[in-house]
Amino acid sequence: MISILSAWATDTDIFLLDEPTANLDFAATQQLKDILLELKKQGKTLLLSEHRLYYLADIADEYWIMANGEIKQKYTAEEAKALLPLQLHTLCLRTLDLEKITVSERPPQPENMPQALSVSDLRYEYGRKNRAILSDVNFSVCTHEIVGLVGANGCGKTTLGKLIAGLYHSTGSEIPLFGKAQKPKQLQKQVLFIMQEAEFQFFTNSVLHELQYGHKITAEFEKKTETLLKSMDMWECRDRHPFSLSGGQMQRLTLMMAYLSDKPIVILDEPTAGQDAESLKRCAELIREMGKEKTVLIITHDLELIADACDRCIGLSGGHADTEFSIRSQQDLQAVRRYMEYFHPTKVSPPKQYKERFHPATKLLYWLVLTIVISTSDNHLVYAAYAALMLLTAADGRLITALFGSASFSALWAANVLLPDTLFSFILVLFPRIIAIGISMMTLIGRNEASRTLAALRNMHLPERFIMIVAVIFRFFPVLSGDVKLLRQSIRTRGAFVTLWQKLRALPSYIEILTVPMALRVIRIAETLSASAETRGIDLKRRKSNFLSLRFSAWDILFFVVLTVSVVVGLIL
Amino acid sequence: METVNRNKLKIKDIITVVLLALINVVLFFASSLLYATPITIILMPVFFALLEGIVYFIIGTKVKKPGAILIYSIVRAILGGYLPYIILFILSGAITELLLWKIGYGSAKALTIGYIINQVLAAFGSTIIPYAIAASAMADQAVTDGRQDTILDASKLLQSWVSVVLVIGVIVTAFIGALIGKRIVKKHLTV
Repeated sequence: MISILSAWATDTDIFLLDEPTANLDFAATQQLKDILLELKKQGKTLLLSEHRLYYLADIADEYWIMANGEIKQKYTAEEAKALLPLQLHTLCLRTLDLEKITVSERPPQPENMPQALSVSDLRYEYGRKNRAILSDVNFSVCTHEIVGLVGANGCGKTTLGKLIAGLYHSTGSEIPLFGKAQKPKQLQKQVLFIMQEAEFQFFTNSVLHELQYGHKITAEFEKKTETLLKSMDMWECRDRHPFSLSGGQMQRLTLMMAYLSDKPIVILDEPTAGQDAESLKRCAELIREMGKEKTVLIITHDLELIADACDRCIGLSGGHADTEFSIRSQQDLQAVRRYMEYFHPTKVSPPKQYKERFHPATKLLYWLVLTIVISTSDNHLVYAAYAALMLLTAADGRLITALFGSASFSALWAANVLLPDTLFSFILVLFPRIIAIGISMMTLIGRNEASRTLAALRNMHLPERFIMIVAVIFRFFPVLSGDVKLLRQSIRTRGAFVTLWQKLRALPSYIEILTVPMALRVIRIAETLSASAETRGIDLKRRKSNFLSLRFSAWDILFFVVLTVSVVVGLIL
Repeated sequence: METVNRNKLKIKDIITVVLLALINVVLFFASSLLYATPITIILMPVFFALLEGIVYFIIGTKVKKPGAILIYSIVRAILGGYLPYIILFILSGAITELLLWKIGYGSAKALTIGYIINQVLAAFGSTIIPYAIAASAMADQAVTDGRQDTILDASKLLQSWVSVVLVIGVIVTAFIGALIGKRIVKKHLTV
């Protein structure tokens, strides 16, 4: 939505949208629809490429169907509405009206199946402020059952899934599987979590190798993979690199990996984002097939998938599992739909506002002084600069950091006094230097300082290319850190490289799967980012203006005095 | 004139290089626990020499233009935050640029040599120089305190001995790291 608004701000007349709803829930899709209607009213031209069609029913004037690189057919809105389910099916189109979705026939669930998973009083807190994302979650799932987890974006579905998969540690009780309480490590061995971010889950260089990864390749297994690939319409691309596949094909590949996995429980996070009607059907069939051997939990916003695959749905809102629906009839499905359409805003407390006392230039100056000071062998100078840094962080409102810095210095000092002439005297000299660098970098880019530092650099009239490099670093450093976490989760849930010994023994392959998915993903991001930078005129030779006003305050002068005094004192001592 | 333009870094190239460099920075930060003890600090350069080759080679073969490795070195250096490290890292980038200019952009040979130089200089910046500074700072401390510096002799001996072993170790592992990088580029990027 932000990207639509920023395009609108540049006064564009034509908007091209590429699958805007791929990861949106019902409420967000409704908001998007309102925005699109408003744009249409303003006389803008909208061109959307999309698999989900229901929300376009009141917007679109025409539907064009593309196949093999050309426009095959055109329908007016009325003609499209009149299409019968069978016609939609032959055209690979998804439904235009959610009320018309039918629940597919399925054999009744056998009674008295043993419980595969039972969650009771599950709690999960995030961050230091103990904000509970999930609290008192209770539900259970029987063996071979296929259960959908539904709820608004941000209500904790993915967190719940990762808790069950042992990728996060719950704050409350342990999660029992098959009647036995399990530790996270044991959960990891029995539950496979297929992430929404498909590309983090590929470790090899071809589709076929990906399916064979971690399996003993017997003739029988080869036959099985071949049938599977053919049934999912992926046989032709078996030798392609997973990263060269389309988004939908990647999703299908992860689904096939889940199907072939030996684990008894599988959790799928949004498995059908970006799938057309035909592949949605195939995915649903594969999930039903999976249900014969495994227990499946599906996190989804996709009503058509629920209709075709799920036995039951659990509704999550406000951190609780508050509703259950069994999916037997069209009425059941409409009940799920009403639940999902009902806006369940997740309470998000606004981020804490920090009062910035210092101009970023002051912190940059400190960083420069520090880099010079620690490169000398003058200990007193280092200690003086260290003290100034503690004052700076404390005055800047980072009391915990300042406390940590002072405490660790005191500890090192005490260790050196108690055990002189040991390793500790060496540590006392080396470590304050390292800690000081870490903290001073944090004052420059931590919290929301990055954008202020950037604005300060821009005010210094540095070359635009340099600013761009810094901007990309600041913007993507947190993103990539998050990505590394996801990647490690995916390595853990696939059961590769569990112990340290396994990592060391096959170090090159471990390094490979830790770096290559990131690199390939980053190359993709760079392509999109530069395209969007160019369409939004980053390369234009006009002056960029800052929207952040930066002013030097008394605090800056005060710190400047403190820094000068401490440097002088350090030099004299 | 046209060839010059074709060889100039475009926005896309700069963003690609910066983002790829960030991968190594993130891995660097993720492994910063190694800084926790003086012994593991010694192992750090060896560990990184093995780890960082992949991204280095991907940059060198994906963006075959003057300046790519230099930008990588600048990004990687500045986020290291330590002055001698920054200077040496950027210097190694400049040397590699010269090598690439002489031998040819994308040449595996030039990249291998460049990578080894890069890792050796980085080892000086990240470990050997801080160790030397710390040791001489300790000497100052001991002299002001009026202590006999037996421990210092040991530390000096250790320092020179460790430095030699470290440099050899880094050269060997950087060579292996370059081989891994080369193999992975061949496996994943030539599709």
